[in-house]
Amino acid sequence: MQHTRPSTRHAARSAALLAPCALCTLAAAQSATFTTPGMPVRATATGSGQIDRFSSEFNPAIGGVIDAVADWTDRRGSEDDGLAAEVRAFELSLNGRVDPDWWAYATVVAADDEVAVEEAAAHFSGLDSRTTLRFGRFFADFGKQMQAHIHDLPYPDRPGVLAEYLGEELAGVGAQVDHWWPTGDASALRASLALFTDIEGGHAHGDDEPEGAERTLAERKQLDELALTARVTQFMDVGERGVFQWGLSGRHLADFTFEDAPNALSTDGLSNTVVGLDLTYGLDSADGLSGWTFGGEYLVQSGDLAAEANSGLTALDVLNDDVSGFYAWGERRFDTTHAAGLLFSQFEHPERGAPEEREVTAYLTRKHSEFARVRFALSYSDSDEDGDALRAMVQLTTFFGPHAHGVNW
Amino acid sequence: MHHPSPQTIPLTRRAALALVALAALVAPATARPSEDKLRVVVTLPDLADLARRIGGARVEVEALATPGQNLHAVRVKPSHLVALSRADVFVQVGLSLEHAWVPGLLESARNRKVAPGGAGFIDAGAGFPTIGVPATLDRAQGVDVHPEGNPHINLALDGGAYLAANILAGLARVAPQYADEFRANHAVWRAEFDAARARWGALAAAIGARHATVCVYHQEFDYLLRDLGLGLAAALEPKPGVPPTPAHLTRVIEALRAQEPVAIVTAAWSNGKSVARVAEATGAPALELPIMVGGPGMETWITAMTARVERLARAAGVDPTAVDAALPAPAPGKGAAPGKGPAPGKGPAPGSMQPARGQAAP
Repeated sequence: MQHTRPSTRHAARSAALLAPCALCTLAAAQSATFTTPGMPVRATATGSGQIDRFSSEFNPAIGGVIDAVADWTDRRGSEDDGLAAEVRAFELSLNGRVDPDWWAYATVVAADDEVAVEEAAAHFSGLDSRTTLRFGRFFADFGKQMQAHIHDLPYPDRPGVLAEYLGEELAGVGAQVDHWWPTGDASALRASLALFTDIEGGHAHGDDEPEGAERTLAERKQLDELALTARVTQFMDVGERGVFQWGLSGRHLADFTFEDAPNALSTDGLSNTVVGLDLTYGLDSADGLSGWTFGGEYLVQSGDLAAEANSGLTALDVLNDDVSGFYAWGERRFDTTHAAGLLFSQFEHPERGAPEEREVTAYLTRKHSEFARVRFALSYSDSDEDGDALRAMVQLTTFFGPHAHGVNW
Repeated sequence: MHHPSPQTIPLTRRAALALVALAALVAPATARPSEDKLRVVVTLPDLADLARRIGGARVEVEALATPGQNLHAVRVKPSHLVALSRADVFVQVGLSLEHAWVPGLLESARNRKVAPGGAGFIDAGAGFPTIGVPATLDRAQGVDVHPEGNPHINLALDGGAYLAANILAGLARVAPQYADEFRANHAVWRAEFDAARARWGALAAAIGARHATVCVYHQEFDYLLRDLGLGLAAALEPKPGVPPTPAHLTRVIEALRAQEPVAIVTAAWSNGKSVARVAEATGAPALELPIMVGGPGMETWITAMTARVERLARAAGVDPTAVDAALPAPAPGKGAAPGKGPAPGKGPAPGSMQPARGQAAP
């Protein structure tokens, strides 16, 4: 942009006359001056060519998260005991407005010497209604907690029932439509429906890949083979300081394959479904700085749950069954810095005989600020299959820069 | 290639049909009869009072935050979302005071009328000559870093007049057919403000003459302390938004013993234990001041400010009734005391602010 000196009228007039030419020169200087067919063309006759500018004014917001854990485990009958420390994940995220109707974000996570794009999605909100369309790779809208990355959870780890039935983090590539309606003056209802070409619950950062036949999805699918998630949730004021929310969620894998790579076995045409009911209640103090939160989810997984090689190693035996489980959670926020909570989870493993596992975790969180948090936790788990285990852990999480994941309410 | 199992297609279709049916079921519940009144949603009770006074019978006002809440951490509720989605006008103080919860709420409410840039979006504090503007933007300076300076302008003696002028401009923009009515309502309010402002000015002069200092928990009263001539001895938060640490409290106690502040000024949300510890160690009494309109005798922005000024005056050893006695009686029909401020509607009181550049003047 040209600036003029107010004291020199002649110069100002000249500058005004030259301004359009100067802008032409500017645009030409910052984009391709000449193009041949097939070259990328960004600046058009009607566009401003902003995408080629060197200015940093329109850069996306960049943020980082370091989630580190040190723990001590005592597992009866196992040699997997003792102390361990790890950076569970380093997350780099970018987010920014694309234009008035589009918002985009991406999350790259480094964990276990691997770097993965966990999310890269764009939201479209230009329908002039309460509808949002989402495209790309994003966390599925299932239940109360599955959209949150592990470092954003109020407790140290994903509740066992969610991790077992859906995966530690349920990311998929697809499209989602989301809409909300007021249901009175103090409540609203939201519903979402998503179709995925690829959706798979990843294992926890720092955990080994699960054993046994692995579930895989075909790269290309027919329309009726797409995976689906759906959610309906309603939230409402309860009194002056309370909020209650209920939700119903479903995730359906229409077509997948179990592959047993070591034995070169596979079986396809399988499907399974997880449905869940979640209830959450929050109560704040008058100043909003302390309060209580109670919540829980009940899940049922049905269909083709697991597969294992038969005794002759000639085929995979598929387990078609129903398993269920739940978690319940309560937390007391004492002030802006301290919170303590208790998490209990019980579920049937999707395996033959449906062995049960129970886990209880007590934790204390101290926030040094909005951006730095230390959490101490003590967990006891009791498994029909693996026996019991005791774990003490310290989690340190720091957020630097902006932090956004596009999580729905 | 795999052929779908018989259950696959029906399940997908059933889910889609269920959602469509649900939408059809719920949609009628959102339809409400149109009303003549403008639906005004504001962030603070302070703004609610001003909007009601200026909008009069033409507005229906709802405040999101409740008295006593920490404005940096208001918990958003479903009713807030619904109210904003239906609003014709939204008023915020701005200056990043409500940045932790308002932008997300506006985004989710999807009401373009009141979204930033919309005609119904009133950024009432925009352009206010703030104090405490950080030289550099760095989280090392504190957690509550406000790039535009201290945002608690509703606690400045002239903050109400500034906010009211911008609310008037915004309401007149949204409903120009009632603009004259809004201006008349504003003139009435302004007369009351001018009278009160003249009295606060007299009290400020008496307080300032004492050269007293106070300690605060969070630096939300900086404007008020400045306007009343009270010095700031220390803040219990080591950095804005960072809770007090034992080491910092020890340093504060040592500093306060030398300065002998007349009070430790707190808000309803301040950490009572830290305040009590410092009060016990220094002998300075804790003095809780309202940070928002609300409560007995503080139902309006003017009465709430009067309550704050009088409490601080007493803490500084100034008797408000003695100052009142020394004030000349207002002339009949005039709101302000002669020599203490302009006549009603004739212009700003001493030190009062003009509306933000780019916003219409009343």
